[in-house]
Amino acid sequence: MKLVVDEWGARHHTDPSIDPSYLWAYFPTLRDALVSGITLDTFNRHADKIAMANAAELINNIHSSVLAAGDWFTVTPVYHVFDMYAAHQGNKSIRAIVSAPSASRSSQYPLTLSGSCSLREKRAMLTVVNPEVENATPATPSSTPRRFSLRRVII
Amino acid sequence: MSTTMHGPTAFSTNSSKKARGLCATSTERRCITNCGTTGTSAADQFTPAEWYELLFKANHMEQLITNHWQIMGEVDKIRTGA
Repeated sequence: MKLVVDEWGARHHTDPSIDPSYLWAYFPTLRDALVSGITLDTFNRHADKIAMANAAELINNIHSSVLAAGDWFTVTPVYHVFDMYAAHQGNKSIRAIVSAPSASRSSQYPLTLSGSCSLREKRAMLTVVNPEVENATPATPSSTPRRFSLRRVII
Repeated sequence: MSTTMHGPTAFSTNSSKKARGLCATSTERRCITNCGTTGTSAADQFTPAEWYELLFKANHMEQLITNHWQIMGEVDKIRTGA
């Protein structure tokens, strides 16, 4: 028995500049992109438990990857996260431990780096989300036991 | 019969023939979760605190999956070996 996550994503109100016939349509930002990254990493870490997970929705709606109106079409920050995380597809999820001090300046909402890792043949795919609103967080990937030689790391 | 609950811990069991064929099979359970919004509910207007609040809500997926998996394990005959 596995879990299907029917619908996930941020759910903001309809942007007033958008025709109200587009239900729940808004312009996703970098904040929503990080919601995608955090959530997709969570799914990767629990790949043994989840049969299906669907972002809501694809176009002109909640947490959309693309926006379109008439002849206009654009992708959103959410789309770019899916584009980056596509490299996990078809891989085998492997255990990843992300250790870092709390990155959030808010004691009410403690957050730190989060991520996931997958493997295909000799190539590992590691994704990490930095929730810090302003600052970069230095990170050093390592492998234990040393099954992989991290000769080439793409960040 | 199809029952779907919305909310941060929404969980549904769908036993309709259509759903069995198209989505949730007898070996799957469906879950809907949106991490909502913050402040004024505008996607592009938020404070740093509201930035962290939304990402914190997104992190709830971890607990949601873990908790549901634990509950499902109580009736999963394949996993329990019953």
